Amino acid sequence: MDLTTDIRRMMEISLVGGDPQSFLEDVKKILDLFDKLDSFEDKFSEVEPLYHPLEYRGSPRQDKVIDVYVDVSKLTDYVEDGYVYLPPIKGVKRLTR
Amino acid sequence: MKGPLSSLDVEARKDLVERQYNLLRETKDKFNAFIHLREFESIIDEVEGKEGPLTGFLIPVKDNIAVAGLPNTCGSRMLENYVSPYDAHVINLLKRLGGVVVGKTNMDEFAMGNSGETSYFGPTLNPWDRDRVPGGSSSGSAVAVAWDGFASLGSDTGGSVRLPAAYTHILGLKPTYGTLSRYGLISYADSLEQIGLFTRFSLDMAYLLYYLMEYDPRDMTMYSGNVRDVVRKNLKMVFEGKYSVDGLKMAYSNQLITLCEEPVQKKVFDAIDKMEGLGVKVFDVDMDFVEPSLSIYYIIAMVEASSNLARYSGENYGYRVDAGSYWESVRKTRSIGFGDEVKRRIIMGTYASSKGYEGKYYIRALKGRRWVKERLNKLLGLYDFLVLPVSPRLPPRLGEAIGPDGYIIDIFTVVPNLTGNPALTIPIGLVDGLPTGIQLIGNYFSEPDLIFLGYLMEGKIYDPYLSPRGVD
Repeated sequence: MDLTTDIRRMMEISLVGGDPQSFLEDVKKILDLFDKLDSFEDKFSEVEPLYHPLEYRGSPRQDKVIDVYVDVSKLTDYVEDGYVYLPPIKGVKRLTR
Repeated sequence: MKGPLSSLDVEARKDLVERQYNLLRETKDKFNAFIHLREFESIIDEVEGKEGPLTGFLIPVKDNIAVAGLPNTCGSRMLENYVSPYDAHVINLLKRLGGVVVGKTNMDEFAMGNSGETSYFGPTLNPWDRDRVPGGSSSGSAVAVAWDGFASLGSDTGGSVRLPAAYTHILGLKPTYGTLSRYGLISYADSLEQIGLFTRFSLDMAYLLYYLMEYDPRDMTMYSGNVRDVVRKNLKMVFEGKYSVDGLKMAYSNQLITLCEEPVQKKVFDAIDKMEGLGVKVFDVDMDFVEPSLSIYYIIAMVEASSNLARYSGENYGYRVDAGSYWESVRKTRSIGFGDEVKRRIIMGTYASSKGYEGKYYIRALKGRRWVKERLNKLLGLYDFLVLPVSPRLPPRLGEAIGPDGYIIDIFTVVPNLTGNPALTIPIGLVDGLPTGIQLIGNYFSEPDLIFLGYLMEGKIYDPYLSPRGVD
């Protein structure tokens, strides 16, 4: 499993607090799922890859300057002294500063 | 409950605001459906200050959709302290038309999961049985509607609207790819995902979709053709009671339905019989593209996730660990900030798209995707829509469907995400007190037909007034 070590390093991720053995078991299950495509190989080996579900051409945005500034303080209840503060997560009341 | 909210006048809707809010608060307290719920006083002020077609709609919004000034955590520690500075396009429309965002709903972390359990803020519980999952990833949005609510927003990457809709006995729509703007939807797998809707009544579904599908040039994958106007015109006819279709032909697969556990099979076959009774002609066909779709979906979703989530380094926003060097800080931030399922998918997506394995996995999956699309749309050239179960099993108990062992639950829902077709979950009643559902998959931009079929089934195949509150 040196490859997964390399990939974890590449993605800048380590398994903090995780059980490496259970991770490897999960990796095996996922690879087994990926490898199920082996038995369908003959059905689509000659087909062109499809990257996007609808292959229409999107219209590019017009090349013009638009005002995108949003004054978020006017859109939220959570403003104090002109600053937007973090709304209470899970409904817990914000601690006073 | 007096039927669809959209059918009431503005004053009647305003009269329901406090009741709606109290029910939503109950879902937060009892089922952990919300990550953030606004205070009632600010909501009532906002309702009173607005007039428009969506006045009186209190909309819970999945926490991966940006709402200015509200948390935007995606159910992750990585964005625990992140407040969105802007509105997603659908939120902008909703607010402009009189609707009010009531809060941000719980979800599987970065929408990766089908049980509602991988959220950093704890699992969402199923209101039909608190020992079971409500389905995910849009778990909180589904529960908010199931508990006698009217409508909410979620997102559907591989079934994340349709599965929780089936597990909580409500309607759930994944529109055609490119129908609703993804501007402001935090990406997990952008070629697969669409913002979706939950409602209790079909007419509310048509009404909301009509107003939220306005074109947005900021999402370049949004469909800009004239068909949008036709869809909107037909949706309007649906909610005004002027729409009709007849002579519909529906395809199902006996072989696929028998993959479900027995009580689910029976319910699905019963529903198909009843649809025949409504005048729909039904045909048993081979759907050989469904089985490989699960592998194709997971490869593509994980590859896109590994790319989309590379941006979370702690440098610009979100959770951050200071650990001396830059790279060590990034590594620790990502290792602690992401949960196990997210890390699994990032690692496996990177693997599947790495130079040595890209051909074996990613490119092959993309080839399979085109094959699935061609097979599905060939069938949809012969039949008006397909019907599939939503899930092969009833809602799992908490802990049963986390990680790769739970991926199989997505087997019937991933196809429309690969192909971009619309799909609508219709609840079909209870088995031993637990909900299950079917999904209708239609041609591109056939949402009016699908929703109208849902309308025809109301009161005949499912009871829109059936609620877990009655059994709580």
